[in-house]
Amino acid sequence: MHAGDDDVRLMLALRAGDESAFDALFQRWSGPLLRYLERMLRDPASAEELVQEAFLRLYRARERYEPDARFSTWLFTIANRLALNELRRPRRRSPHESTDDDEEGAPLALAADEPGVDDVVHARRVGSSVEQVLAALPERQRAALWLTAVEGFSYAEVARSLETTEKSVKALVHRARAAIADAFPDEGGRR
Amino acid sequence: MSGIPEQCLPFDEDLSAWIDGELDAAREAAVRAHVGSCARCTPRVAALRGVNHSLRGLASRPHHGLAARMAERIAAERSRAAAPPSARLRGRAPRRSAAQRIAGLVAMVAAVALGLLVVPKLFPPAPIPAAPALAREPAPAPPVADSRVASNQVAQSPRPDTSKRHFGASAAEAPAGEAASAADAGLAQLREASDDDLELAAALQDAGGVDSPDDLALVERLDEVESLPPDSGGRG
Repeated sequence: MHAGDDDVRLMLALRAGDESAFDALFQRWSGPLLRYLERMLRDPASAEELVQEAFLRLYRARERYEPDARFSTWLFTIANRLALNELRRPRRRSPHESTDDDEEGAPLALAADEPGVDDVVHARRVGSSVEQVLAALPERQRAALWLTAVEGFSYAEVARSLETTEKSVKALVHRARAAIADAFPDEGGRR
Repeated sequence: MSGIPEQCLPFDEDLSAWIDGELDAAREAAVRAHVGSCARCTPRVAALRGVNHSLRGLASRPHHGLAARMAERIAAERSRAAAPPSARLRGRAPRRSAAQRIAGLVAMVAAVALGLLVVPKLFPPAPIPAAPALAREPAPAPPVADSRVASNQVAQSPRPDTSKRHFGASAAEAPAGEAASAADAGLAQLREASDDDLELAAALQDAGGVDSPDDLALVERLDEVESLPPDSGGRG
């Protein structure tokens, strides 16, 4: 289906035993994946660890790989599962952290995806940047917006990666994007 | 965004979808027509689009050595995969045989039996006060943690008069408390039993391996342990 995707060709080569294909995939995708996971986890060390873990899982699954989606969708799906699990570990939680507790383990509940209003307002009050407003958003809003706006995923691809529906992704993306735009009303969302 | 004008409400969520190219042709035409004639939505679209530019401009921290660490992990993975199966299994706890698991289950059942049957006999209850005194002095409720065990112990005891302990004076509560503690210890062991062990218990019951009243009572306790919520202690 996606055999024309260069990354898929590399992955098929890895499946066939060409180990150099793994290096090429890592060189191409470790940067974007790290940048994404840094925003998701807000902890550089954990993000680096999860990049390695995601690629390790990719390597272990190479013989079972089937090109039924873009490679990046597959890779970010692995990473999202790792990241969401990591975010739900109790020791990560802080009293002021905005989370998606209500939707844990269930199909996305849109009512639970309202932006962390207090966090957003607080971030704005202290003159923070887009980075901080983004960090204050619920994790699935953050993920959906980043994958759409930065990685160029379609809503269908985001839905697959976050294991939810396109309708939910549409709402997640808009709420996240609107929250950031509203935090900087005089700058057209730019900061 | 709060305070969205009523005429914009039907289009607001579609503004992002429009920016992302996710609308079908008919809906895109409708949104485009609205935005083109709406003083609020035109700058709104610009602001939403600006968020994309802002996010794409966010820097990534340098990650020196990440590729080298990844290479080390892949090398370790290759070594692990290349090792013979016996080496890969080395260091893991060996899986217990069915006989070992049954033996472990029997030991746990014996521990519970000790708690339920032996301990109360070693520590017989004190003489029970006269009925009028009982009526005047209702017993305090047992501790919550022991209430389930204590009440079960009463229900399953072969000696009918022991149920009076729960209405008795404090002197009568000590043996019952010790029996409950011993039963608790047995239950704690049961909680640590693997799912396989519990399945074996069920199999034993099905096979008629436990048919005495006491054994049946113990199997009921196994069922009770299975039905306890995971955070009720012991397991996990």
